[in-house]
Amino acid sequence: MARASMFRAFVAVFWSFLGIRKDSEYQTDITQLSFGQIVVAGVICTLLFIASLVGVVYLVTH
Amino acid sequence: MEATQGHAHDDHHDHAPQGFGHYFTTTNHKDIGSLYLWFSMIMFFVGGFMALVIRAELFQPGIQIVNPDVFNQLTTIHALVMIFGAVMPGFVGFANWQIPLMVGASDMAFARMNNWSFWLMPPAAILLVGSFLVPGGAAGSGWTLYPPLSVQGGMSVDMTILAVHIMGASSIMGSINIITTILNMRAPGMTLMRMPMFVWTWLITAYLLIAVMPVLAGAVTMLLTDRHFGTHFFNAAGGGDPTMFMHIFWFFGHPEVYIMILPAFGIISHIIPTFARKPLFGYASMVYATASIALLSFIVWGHHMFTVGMPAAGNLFFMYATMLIAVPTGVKVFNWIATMWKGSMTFETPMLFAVGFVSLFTIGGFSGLVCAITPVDITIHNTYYVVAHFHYVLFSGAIYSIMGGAYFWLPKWTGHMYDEKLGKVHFWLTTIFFNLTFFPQHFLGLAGMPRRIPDYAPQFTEFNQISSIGAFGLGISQLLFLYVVIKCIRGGVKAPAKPWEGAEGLEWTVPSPAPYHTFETPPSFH
Repeated sequence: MARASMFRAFVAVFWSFLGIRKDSEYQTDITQLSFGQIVVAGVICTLLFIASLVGVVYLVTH
Repeated sequence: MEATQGHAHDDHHDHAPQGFGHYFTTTNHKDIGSLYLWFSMIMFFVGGFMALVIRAELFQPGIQIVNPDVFNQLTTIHALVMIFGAVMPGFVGFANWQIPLMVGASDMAFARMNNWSFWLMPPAAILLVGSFLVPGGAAGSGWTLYPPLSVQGGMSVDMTILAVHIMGASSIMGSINIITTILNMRAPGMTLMRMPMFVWTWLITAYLLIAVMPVLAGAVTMLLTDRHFGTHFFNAAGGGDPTMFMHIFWFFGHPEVYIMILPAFGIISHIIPTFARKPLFGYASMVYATASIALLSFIVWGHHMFTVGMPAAGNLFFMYATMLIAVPTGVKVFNWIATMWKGSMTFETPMLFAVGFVSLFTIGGFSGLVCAITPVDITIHNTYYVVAHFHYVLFSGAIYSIMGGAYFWLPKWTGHMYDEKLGKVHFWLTTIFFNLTFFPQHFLGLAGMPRRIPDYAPQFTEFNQISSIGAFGLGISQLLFLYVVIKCIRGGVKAPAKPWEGAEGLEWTVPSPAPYHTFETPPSFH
């Protein structure tokens, strides 16, 4: 089966941070995304999440 | 979900060894699961006894029963025994019993290492509890082992450090075993996103354990070299920094909190669908939420240190990150309630504990959000508010799930139904006395009563007396649990393979009690 793009992995991880995902999209995710893609996207999204928190803190303190 | 049975022949050569001796050498996941669960039960009562001495001392102001030094030792060892001796081994016991049965594996991946993982625990427990008997008594530094107290303490601190090392090694080996079993030994057809929720939560918990246990080991090793080999990691006079210990410790300590609650989420995610007779609402979002909570757990440690002295930017970062944990946790609570919504619910004892979990754990979660707000935390830090908060998370969270899970799977483990009436009495006594013990502690904390102090100002007396009466009721009620478990093992109504009408999963396809060897031929999972 054709592998989905890395972009799709980022979208899936983004929704997972919120904890919700449309069922049809989820079904596509589990058939097309590989475990490795999700892990890579998850680590990058976590780093971006931390950076965004640091950014908010910077805005508040400056 | 259906499974075809690939184990019908199991009954005919089910040679379970007799006698206690085989437990020393056993490599069977069911034996080792039982060992862990009994170890957890014993340590639960040992730690509970210490808690009752603490509550007896706090029944009235002044010093009555133990001197302040022994009081400190009791708070320290109570915490260490409950965390490392009761809650964690309890969940590892569930993992050993249930994961192979749930994924359709014949045993854990590394059966001999599994034996070693368990048999490391009793020596660690002896070191911890036995340290009360050495000169100077047990470690009195608090379970966090903060220097300089932990550097100044006597030989009991060394015993505690060694115990922590041993239990850490045991946890790491257990985690490697669990991860390997889950990733390599699932029944054909069971993809990752079709695994039972308990298996998912333990997979994530095992990664957390492997990530943070070495951090704790590093921290306590530095303590050890500071104590004996002239290093100054945490000694300001020698160029070290005691605050560094706090950062390292809590980088372990906060994920540790989730290590103690994620498997609980897994157990609850099995009990509620079973007794609501509906599939778990939002399975995928449950998996996502568990993974998100695990990732977040690594970036919130500073919330234990708001009063230690961090730059405002640090306090803000940790405050924001901590408050965001409410999002995935809220998703989970929502999903459990949505699973119950319009379900055909019955309230057997496991379901009572599960509903109790959802209600009371949520109170603990909310008080956690209160503590997460830096300016509020600065006033309630080190007060009984924090004690109330984490007992709502750990007792009505972790312990409720262990008890609910025990009632849920006891028929599978023993082959007998437990005494339903006594189980319900146990639940209600536990819930009433638990709230009587810990709810007043919120008010004590807000009024300014500090934790870990054996004496208090007279205006705190009434609430402390209510709390102590509740604690003794809570402690004595747990003897009923022990009685119900022993009664269930010794006999009772014969349990069918699937004692719960709404239960789903491979473990219910094998007979009750589960034969000594199961799934020697992998079942096919549709």
